[in-house]
Amino acid sequence: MGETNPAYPQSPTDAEGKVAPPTFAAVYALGAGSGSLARLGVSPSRLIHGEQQFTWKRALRVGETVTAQGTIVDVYDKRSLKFVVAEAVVKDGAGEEVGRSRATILVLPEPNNGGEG
Amino acid sequence: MTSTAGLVVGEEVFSLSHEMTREGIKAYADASGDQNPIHQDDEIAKMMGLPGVIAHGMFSFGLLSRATTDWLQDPSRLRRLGVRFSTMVRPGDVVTCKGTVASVDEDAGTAVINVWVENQRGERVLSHGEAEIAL
Repeated sequence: MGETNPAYPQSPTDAEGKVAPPTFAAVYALGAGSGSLARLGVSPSRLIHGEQQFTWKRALRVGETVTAQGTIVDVYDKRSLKFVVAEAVVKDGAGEEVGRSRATILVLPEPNNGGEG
Repeated sequence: MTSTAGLVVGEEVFSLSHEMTREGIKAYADASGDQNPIHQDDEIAKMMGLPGVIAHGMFSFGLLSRATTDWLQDPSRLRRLGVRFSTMVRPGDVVTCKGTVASVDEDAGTAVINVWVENQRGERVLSHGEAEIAL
């Protein structure tokens, strides 16, 4: 990503007092929603990211453990595509909310199913 | 800390350009854990109806976040960032992240920035974006 902001670690050992870049949320929050889709048997290659919003209450410190709980909040069809809205709430070790993710994901039709949408 | 006092509605606050390469997309896949093959395998991407591999939407989102927090300096001042993924980004595209001031609420100590990412043809690849920041 080419981050050079000194607030973030600049090497694997540069952790003291450093925080994670905000969109590191892609790693700790996004999987909680799309993981639910994988468990439903949807191949990841059929998923297209439509919209994304993160909110943060604070920056995450290097070394802390957070837990994301994902929920599918809506499923709808538009123009022969299926849309899934997945939310995740991220909490720190004390159970305090540190941020949220809301993703809208398009599910493409399975290839070679004879239909051209 | 960057002074955000006296922000003027409409003023451009950052602009950051980046060339997307296959190597960069692979590095993003490894760093993010998103190994979806449509970002690495042309054949699978074409099978899914795409012109070939495309960059992760979150790669452009991450660049937009970098542009925003480079401007703010203190990343904890970024409270919210949201976008729509409108157009595919392909290897060889040059994307530019931009932000302009939408509104300032001095009493609440916050501002909303219109943010987007456009390609070398001026098409918005990330659109309808907003960042809420602490002043």
